[in-house]
Amino acid sequence: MKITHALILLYFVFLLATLWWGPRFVQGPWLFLLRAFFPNWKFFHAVGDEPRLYVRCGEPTGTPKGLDPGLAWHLIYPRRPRSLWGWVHNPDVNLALSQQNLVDHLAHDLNHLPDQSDPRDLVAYRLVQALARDACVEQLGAQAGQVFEFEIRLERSDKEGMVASHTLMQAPAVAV
Amino acid sequence: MGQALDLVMAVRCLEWLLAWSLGLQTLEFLRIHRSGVVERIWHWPDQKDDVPDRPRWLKALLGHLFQPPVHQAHLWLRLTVLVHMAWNGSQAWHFLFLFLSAVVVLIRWRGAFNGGSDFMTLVVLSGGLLAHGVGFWAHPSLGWQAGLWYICIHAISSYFMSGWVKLKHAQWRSGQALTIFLGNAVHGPLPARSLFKQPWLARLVAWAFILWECAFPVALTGPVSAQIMCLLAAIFHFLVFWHFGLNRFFWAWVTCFPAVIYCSNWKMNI
Repeated sequence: MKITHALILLYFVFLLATLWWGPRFVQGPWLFLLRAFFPNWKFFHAVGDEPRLYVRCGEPTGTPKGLDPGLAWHLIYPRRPRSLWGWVHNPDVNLALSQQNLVDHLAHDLNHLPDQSDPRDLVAYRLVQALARDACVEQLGAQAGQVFEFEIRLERSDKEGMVASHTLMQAPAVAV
Repeated sequence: MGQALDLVMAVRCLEWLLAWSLGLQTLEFLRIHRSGVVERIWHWPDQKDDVPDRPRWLKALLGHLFQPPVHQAHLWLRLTVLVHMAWNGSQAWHFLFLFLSAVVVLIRWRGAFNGGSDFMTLVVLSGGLLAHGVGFWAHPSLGWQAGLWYICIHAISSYFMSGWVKLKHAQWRSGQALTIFLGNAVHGPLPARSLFKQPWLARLVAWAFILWECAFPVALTGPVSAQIMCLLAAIFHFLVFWHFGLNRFFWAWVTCFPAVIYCSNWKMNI
């Protein structure tokens, strides 16, 4: 049993080391994909600026802006009705939360993007763009021939709702 | 209440709960893939740039595994293996397959689909692999003791660390963070007259969670305290599901409870 205890102890020393050096340590692509091996168990720990995805779509104007600047933005954020059945089978809610994770990852990547880099090269950008396109088609009824835009805003809330917002990135208009 | 779990029963309970938890996750994945949304948003040709180019064979293998029919066949095979394990008891190949399967699915979802529940499921699968690995070289009962301890320590540290980081934040101590997170949750926003908007109640609930999470290592003092802590944990996870929609967290953590209850009797077991 002593060897087993030593191995468990060794693992936890390693885990503590990854916590200590976490931000520098978990940077490589494989470490990003396999970060589940280094759980930090911090859930809902800090309130701060939360990334939000906004989209809008419509007929192309033919101008460099692509869309009428007066078009309304729509928030794409997971809100679902509660159901006890979801305790055992909750694909819709889990998928919606996973979509929001994509937005969180893009905001994180944008904040760490080196100067002169193009956000469109980011995998997270391409996936969020696909999410925005999907939301335009499925939720806003966008049609072929129309164009859409998305932007990432950072919003801060208090107990009454949003109190501050600023745009982190606005993507150029592209075809639906 | 108060009865310790013997090793055989603890292992069987863990296998059943793991089969149930991972089975529910797998059925959800099958449903999500059937909707076509994965191919529209998590399109592998876009996403594959996440994976380093070398080794080339690995990237090619992943590309093959993530073709929709192959991935769905993989998920059905996983379900079959889970049923086989629940029915017959686990063997090393069950855990090896489930572990590799979990890693592949995590890569498909860029490292995590549901955050903490993925991590805890991986802990249980790693614990099972450790159990069979040590059991192969030494003795199966020694292997499972190692595996259960591995899972137990992770479960206990997950509660403790989660409580500790909340304790360090003033907004959690004041209860404000609880109200904000509930307002932003998937079933939110909170109604104008919600009780959770009452500062005294939010502070009381927040402190109850913080103190209980930080006190979770008390579970190791004996089977009675372990069972009480696990019962409170089940209630806590149900509330998390109810307010945040995180059903997978409930089942992923409940899967660890046999390990916690078994290890709580460590004076007898070691």
